[in-house]
This record gives sequence, structure tokens and C-alpha cells, in this order.
Amino acid sequence: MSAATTTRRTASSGTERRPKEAGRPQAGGSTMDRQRRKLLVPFVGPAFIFYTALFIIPAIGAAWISLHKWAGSGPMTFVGIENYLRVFRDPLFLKSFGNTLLLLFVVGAAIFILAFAMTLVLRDMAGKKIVRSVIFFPHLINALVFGVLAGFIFNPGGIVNTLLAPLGVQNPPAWLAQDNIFPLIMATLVATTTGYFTTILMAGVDRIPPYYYEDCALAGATPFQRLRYVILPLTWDVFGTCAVLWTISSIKIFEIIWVFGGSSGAGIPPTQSWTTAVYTYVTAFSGQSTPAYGAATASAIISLALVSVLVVVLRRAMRRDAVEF
Amino acid sequence: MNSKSRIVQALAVLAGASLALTACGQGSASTAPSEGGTLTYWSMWKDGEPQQKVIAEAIADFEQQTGATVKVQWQGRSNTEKLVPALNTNNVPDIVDGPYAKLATTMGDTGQALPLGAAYDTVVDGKKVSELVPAKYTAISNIKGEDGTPWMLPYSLSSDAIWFDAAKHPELVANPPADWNGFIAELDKLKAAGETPLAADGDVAGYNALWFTTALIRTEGPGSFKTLASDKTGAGWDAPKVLAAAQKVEQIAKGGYLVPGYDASKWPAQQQVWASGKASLILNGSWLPTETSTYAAEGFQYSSFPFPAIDGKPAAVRADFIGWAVPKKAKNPGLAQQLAAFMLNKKYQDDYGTKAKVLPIRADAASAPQMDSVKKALDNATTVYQGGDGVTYAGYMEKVFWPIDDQLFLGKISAAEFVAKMKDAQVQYWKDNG
Amino acid sequence: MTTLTKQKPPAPAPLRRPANRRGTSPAMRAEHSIARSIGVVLLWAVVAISIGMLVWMLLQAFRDTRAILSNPWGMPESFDMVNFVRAWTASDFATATVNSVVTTGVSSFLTVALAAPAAYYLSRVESRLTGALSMYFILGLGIPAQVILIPLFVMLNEAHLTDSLFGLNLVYIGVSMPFTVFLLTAFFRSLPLEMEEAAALDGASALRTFVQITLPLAKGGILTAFVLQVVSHWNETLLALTLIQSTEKYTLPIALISFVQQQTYSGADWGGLFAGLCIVVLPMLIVYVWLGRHLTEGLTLGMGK
Repeated sequence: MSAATTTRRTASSGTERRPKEAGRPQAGGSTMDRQRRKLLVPFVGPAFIFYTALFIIPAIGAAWISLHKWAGSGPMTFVGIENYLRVFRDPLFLKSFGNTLLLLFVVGAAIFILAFAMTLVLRDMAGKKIVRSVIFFPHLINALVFGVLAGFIFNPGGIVNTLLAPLGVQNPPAWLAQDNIFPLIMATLVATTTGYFTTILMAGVDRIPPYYYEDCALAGATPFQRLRYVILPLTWDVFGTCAVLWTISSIKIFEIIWVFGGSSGAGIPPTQSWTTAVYTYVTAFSGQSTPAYGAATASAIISLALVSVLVVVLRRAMRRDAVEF
Repeated sequence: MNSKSRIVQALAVLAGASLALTACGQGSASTAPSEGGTLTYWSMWKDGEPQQKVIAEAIADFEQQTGATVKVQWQGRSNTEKLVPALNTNNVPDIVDGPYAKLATTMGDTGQALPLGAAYDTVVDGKKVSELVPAKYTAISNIKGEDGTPWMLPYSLSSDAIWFDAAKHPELVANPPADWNGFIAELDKLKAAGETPLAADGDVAGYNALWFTTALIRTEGPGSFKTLASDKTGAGWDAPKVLAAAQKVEQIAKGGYLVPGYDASKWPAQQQVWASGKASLILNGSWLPTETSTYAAEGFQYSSFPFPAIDGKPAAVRADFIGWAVPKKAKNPGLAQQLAAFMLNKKYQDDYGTKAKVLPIRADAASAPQMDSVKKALDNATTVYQGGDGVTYAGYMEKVFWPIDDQLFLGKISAAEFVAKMKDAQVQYWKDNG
Repeated sequence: MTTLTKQKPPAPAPLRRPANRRGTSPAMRAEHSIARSIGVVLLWAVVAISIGMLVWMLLQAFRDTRAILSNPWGMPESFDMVNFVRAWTASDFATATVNSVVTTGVSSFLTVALAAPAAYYLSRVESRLTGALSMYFILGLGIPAQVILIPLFVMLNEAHLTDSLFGLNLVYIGVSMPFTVFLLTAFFRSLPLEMEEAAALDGASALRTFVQITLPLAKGGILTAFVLQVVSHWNETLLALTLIQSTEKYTLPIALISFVQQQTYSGADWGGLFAGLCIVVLPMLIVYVWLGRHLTEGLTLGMGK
């Protein structure tokens, strides 16, 4: 960040803007500040009410449920933190939790590296708008579509294998074997999500004024130096937003796993591909056995705790690091 | 036509009378047929499905004859998932249909289902419903509530069998394998003839589980799997008969009989392979002809033989119920039971058999030729059992049994490893859930 | 690497730094051209595969099940719309589309309309209270919908809002609030304060400053938030599946699920299934081709302010 600021100062002597962390509390003078404070109820009130009534209160209800043994209807038995202990003892939950972390970090890293590479390649490539539009589109499609298509593409007699056969591949991988489904889901997620983040990152890179690059050239910076001291710092805030976006959505990834492994939603996906969201759902809604809502909500609350921690950490790490230019 | 409507009227009066006697103090339950009333019905069928057409027709007749209004939501298979939250409110449907496994877990096991004594006492086609539904089906204890009255009224059955194309293998119609060894010999013969003997969609854990549970029930009798699963010490898994059943699955999985790629495909890929004639046999449910008829090879003739007998024990047959249940909170439980009983009229039961091509619950109902072999097995069976032997312990099937059984059927572990793993997992399960 | 769109660097640089002279695009000149060419080729391959998949799906929608299974690479014999008609009528996609459009539009609009003022307040006023409020909103970010499903259902039912698109709209607004507030707070923070300060010095009230100065400045970010909500509400499945019972109130994802189930349970009709997928995907594609530029621009403006 400081490097970027230096770059900016040396580069654009004309722009004389304060870094915004300075002086924010006094912004607009105290009259304005006092006036603003009066807006608390009209401005924050409606959002607060909607959010509290439709989200927080049910969530508190869920926390209450997590302390009980309950089949979704009928009598509830208070069991205290037993559900939490049970969930933590369940190797399947730990496996699911591991998969959630894999999605969060491995898929996340792949997406960001690819998206960043694509951004650099796309920056002034011919037909960049077409490419960007096409790679963004999968994000708009319901996961169910991919689930249905996955069978057609990866079945033993599916499209991929019929394409590989003429190339001399006699024993293609067992794409949809239970152990391979999760990697396949990870790959699909990378393929469908990268375009989305590329678009966002490109926005960040595109707003870097061209004269920075010129300055780099003048200073004889290597490509790596340019990346390190100009592009990365100047897109840092965008990265931060993306990181939070991905953290939140990765914890909730559910539908694509459900339809990929579970016969297009008719069955339950193999346990090798479960995440905590799937674990929660199966525990509560499998349709095959008595629902255990207490355990289901307990596992969901554990994943909630995880995200909360990660988001707080991310926010701390990225806070106010944005460079204005 | 006249005689029929007279019968219906008579039965409606009788139904009304019997309901009046048994109505459980619900003032709003209008039981007199002429008074009408309103019912909400959540169905597992979707508009346009063959079963939906039969039910819709029955409901139209019911409305006409009783003056009642039935509001049907053709919700599809997720109707019971939607029922769970609704049961916590006072806004529940009066009647729902679904397979036993789903109704039991959402209503039966949680004490939310009304005992259907009134429906079972109703007279339809001159007989009480309790007589129309063969006793061997209602004898299954797990559709009975605490007071011994069933809370579910089945209208059709699903079973399973080993299916084949009778046009291609007429010899199997006349001479199905008599026992397990005969079955294996048949598989070897098919393999020697250059055919792929067995197809299986290995991604459907429920299908994979059929092999082990059926093999076990063949030797130890109905209820043995449930006993095994209920054993908190896990010692049941040490029994030689249990290992023997697992070894039979291992024999199938490792014998090279299964279609290549069965462990890496997405349903319904392998049943398509089977229906197009590229594999000879498949162990699957009685719904298979309905599911595969659109793409079956030209001239395909559905036939089947039961899962082979083991050790010469009398073969029990799987009979999964699809039927109705009435929530305790239903606003109009009397009328709901009346409707359920009404839909067991032979006319609609025949339609189930011939138009929807499923297995009607009434033994005297007509059925489609594709179902002949399965129906014969069911009719001859002295005892029946339910899919998964009626095990509905929270999470047991999907978190304990299926994952380990998948490994066995997909050839990743041996029978001995399977038994050992199951024992450990089950002990842990009961420690956590006991 | 050969797209030389940027102007040449000032003359002295190349003289002093001959190594940099090769490329003339100042931004990209020094990228390894081999890596870049590979990247370009790969990108176009991805584009080709994506478009190929779409075209393939569309073509299969004109064929019947047996033909598709016997040869997945076959071409349709005729462009008969029979599969589409069957799919369209079997699962009332028309009603579902209308429901989805209305629900998505209304809930996304209201979400942003409610979240923007809140986010503005949280970004401009610094106090212990706003800090706590910010954390309070952020708390909801990680709560998966399935957690609150059952309590939510019971509550809504008390208010007679289950099986109601109105109720579904309320729920969407409620559950989208944390993310939208979070996004917009970050966005408002990134806006320069000069104009607001100037307006305040001119004696404009805080409310007027917000409406007349900040909102127009924040158009990009608000559009982004709206677009993100549209995308997520359009595809939302779990809540709609649970809260809506009547088939005439189904949204598109629910209609698609029930259609897929119907097709697979009662005799797989792959032709019809592909037609159904096309019915769900193609409107999205058309809207995207039509509005996509605005959509990506919204994201661009929003994230890059």
C-alpha cells in the first residue's frame, strides 16, 4: 500500500487528494455530522427491521433448536450442547468441514489466480468484451442445469469419452467415480465462477490510469515489479471485496453438489463430496430417515461461526487499505 | 353406471356412518356425504404423470358424488419435505400421499399422523378396506401407531426384482435361476456368451444397498436387517450369516459381471445401457418399466424374476407402500379418510394397474403385463418386508450404512472389511444417537 | 501481444531502456509473449467450448430420446418444436417465468432501496453504535438459508405469508440485507467526500446531500448491488422450494426441479429435458446479450467505483 501511494505521488503530482483515512471523522463538519446522526432511525431503521425480523429472529430460533433433539415437528427434548459435541465427534462432519475448507481455499485460490491471469491477458486483447461476456455467463445459470449436463458429459459413454476415444485414450478416467466427484465439482466451480470474478477484477484493473504503466516503463520496472507495486496494491480493495464475496458464497455452496452427485437431485450425493451445507441439509431433510433438526442446526451454526471468524479476519486484513486515486 | 353409483352412494353412507362413530371429536369434520366440505391434498405426483391422472379422475368422481371440494396441489416428490415445516403450524393439508419411507420419517415416527381406523373400517365394493388391503401388508408393524391402528393407507406397492428383456432371453421366463448358485451360474453363462451380465447405477446408494439387505433378508428373514441395525453393541455384525450376505455382494462386485463404469456414472446412465440391450440383467424396482419405456430397445419385453433364494428359505418379497396419511392437525380428517377409502375403489385400482402400470394394493385389481412377474411374486409371498427393512433411524442409512455399503458394492473393500467397518460405525452411531 | 492499442511511451525511455522497446503497448509490453499467447488461445478455447455446449444443448432439444442416446453427436432431423411445446406445457414455465421476473425485480429493488440508506449511514457516521450495527449486519453474512428455514416457516405461517409470493419477497429482502448493506457500506466509504463536504458548506441538509449528491455518485455501486441481487434471487431454490406450495406460484428454479423430476421418474424424456433446460437458459441468454453490457458495466462501475 505504501508502495502504491509512493508510486501515485511520484506519478501524478497533479492529483492532490488526501488518503481518506485521514480526516474522516471530521468530514463535513460537525453540523453535518450531527444532522446525519439524526437520520439513524429513518435510514437504518427499515433495513434493521427487515433483517431482524426475517433473519436474526429465525436464526435465534435455530440456535434454540440446536440445543434440542427434534424431528422437525412433534416433541422437542432439551439436550444442551450435546448436538454440538455429537457433530464434532462425527467423522463425516469433519470430512464435510474439510471439503468446505477445500472449496474456500483451493477453489478460491484457483479462481483468483486464474481470474487475475485472465484479467492481465484480457486487458488489451482483441475481442475482450466478447470473451468477458462469454466467461461471465455461466454464473447466471442455475446449478441444476450443470448437474443434468454433467451426466451427459462425463458418463462412461458420455461426450468427453467419445471425444477422447479417437485421440487414442483407451482407458479414460472414471470421471464420476465417488472419489472423483468432488474434484470434478471443484473444477466446475472454478469454470463457472472465474468469469464472474474476472469481470470484477477487470473493473479494478481497468480503472488504473494508463500513466502508471507509463511511469513503470520509465522507471524500468519489470513485469513482476509492475504487478507487485502497481496492479496489486491498486486493486487491493477490489480483491478484498472479492475475497469476502467468495468466502460467503463458498460456505453456502450446496445446489451444485446436490445435483452433481445425487442423480440430479433424486438421491443423496456420495459422502465423499459433502460439505457442511450438504451435511446440514441431509441431517434435516434427507427424506430417508427421521430428521435431526437439532444436529442440523448445530452443524450450520458451526459453519456460521467459521465464516464469521473468516470475514472478520478478512475485514481486518483488508480494512482501509484501499488506495484512492 | 347406475349400479355403480348406487354402490358408491351406499358406501358413502356407510362411510359416513362409520366415520361418525370414529370421528375423533373434530367438530369441523363434516362426515355426511351430502354436506360436502373442503379438503386440501398434497400429492407426490406431478400434473401429467400417469398416476396423477388416475388420482385426478378419482377426485373428480368423489367431488361429484359427495359435493365436497378437494383442493389438490400436485407438488411432486418434494411434498413431504414441504410438509415438515408445515406440521409446526396449523395450516396443514388434510391428506398427503407419499412412499412409506418419507411419510414415516415426517409423520409416522414423530406422532404427527392420525390413526386411520375410520378409513380402514369403511366399506368399499362390499368389503371393508381392512379386508381389501391384504393382511400381510398391514401386518408390517411399522405402519402401525402406538395404539396399533395403521396411520397409513397404502394404494400401491413398489417392489424389486431382477429385470430382463424376455424377447432376448425367453429361457429366463420359463426357467429363472432357482437359487443364488443358479444365479451366479446364469451370470457366468451370460459372460461366456459375450454379454455384459449385469447393469447397475452405482451412484444410487439405495440401489446398491438392495444387494446386501435382500441377501440378508433372504437368509435371516424380514426384520433381520432392522435387528442388525438396532444392535447397539454392533455384535450382530460378527454373525457368520451377515458376513455370508456381504460375501455375496462381494462376489457380484468383484466377479466382473457388472457393466464397466457402473461405479462412475450418473443415474440413469446404466439403466439406459440395460434398456438399450447392452446389458442383460438389472436389479431394480417395479418402477423400472415406467422409467425406461421411452428409450427401451425396439421390441423390448419387460420381465423379471425375484432376487434368488438363498439356502432354500421361503422368499419374502419387498413391498414398499405408497399411500395416504392424514396429519393429526388436519381440519377435515373425516372427509380425508373418506376420500382415501373412496380412491380404493376397484375402478381406480384397476386404472393404477393398467394405465399407470404400477402395482395396485388390492390383490383383485388388474395389472399391466410388464408387472406380471412381480405381481406373481408378491401374491405368492407369505411375508413381505419394506425397503431398507423399515430402518428410519435418524441419519443411519445415509451417514452410516450407505457410504460403507457403497464401498462394498463398488468393489473398494472386501466383505470382511465391510463387516468390520459397519460394526465400528454402528457402535459409534449408537453411542452418539442412543 | 500484437494488439497495439496504447500510445507509444515517451521517446527518451526506449533510448535509455532498449530492452523495453520491443512491444509498444506500455501496459503489456513486457508480458512474456509466449505465456500471453497461450493465455489468449486458452481463453478462446474456453469461449468456443462454452458456446459449443449451448449450441449442442439447443440442437439436442430438437431430437427424441432414443436418437440422443444412440448418438449424442447427431444432428436433429427437423426443427420440430414438439419437445419445447411439451416442456412448456408440462411444467407451466410461462407462469413460473412471470413469477420469477416479478419476484426477482421487486425484491432486488426493495433490497437495494432499503439497504442503501442504511449503508450510507453506517459508512458516514462513526460511533460505537454504528460499529456495533455494522457487525450486526455482517453477522448474517454466513448464515446459510437452511438454518433459518424451519423457524422462518413457522413465523411466516403465523402471519399467513407462506405459499405467498409476497412472503417470499419479504424473505428475500430480509436475507439479502446483510450482504447488500456490507457491499454498499464498503462502496460508500470509497466515495470521495469533497462534494458532500461542499454541499454541507452550502447549507444542504444531510438528507438532501444523500439524495442529491451521494446517490448519483453511487449509481454504479447501487446498480452493482442490484445486479448481484437479481442474479441470486433469480436462481434461489431452497427457500422458494420450502415456502411455496402451490404450483401456480412456483418460481423458475422450482418449476425446473419439478420438471426434471417428472421427466426422470416417469420415463426419461431427454429431448424434453433439453428443451426444458433451453427454456430456462435461453431467456437468461437473451436478456444477457441485450443487457449484458450494462450488467458487466454495473459490476465494473460498482467495484471500480
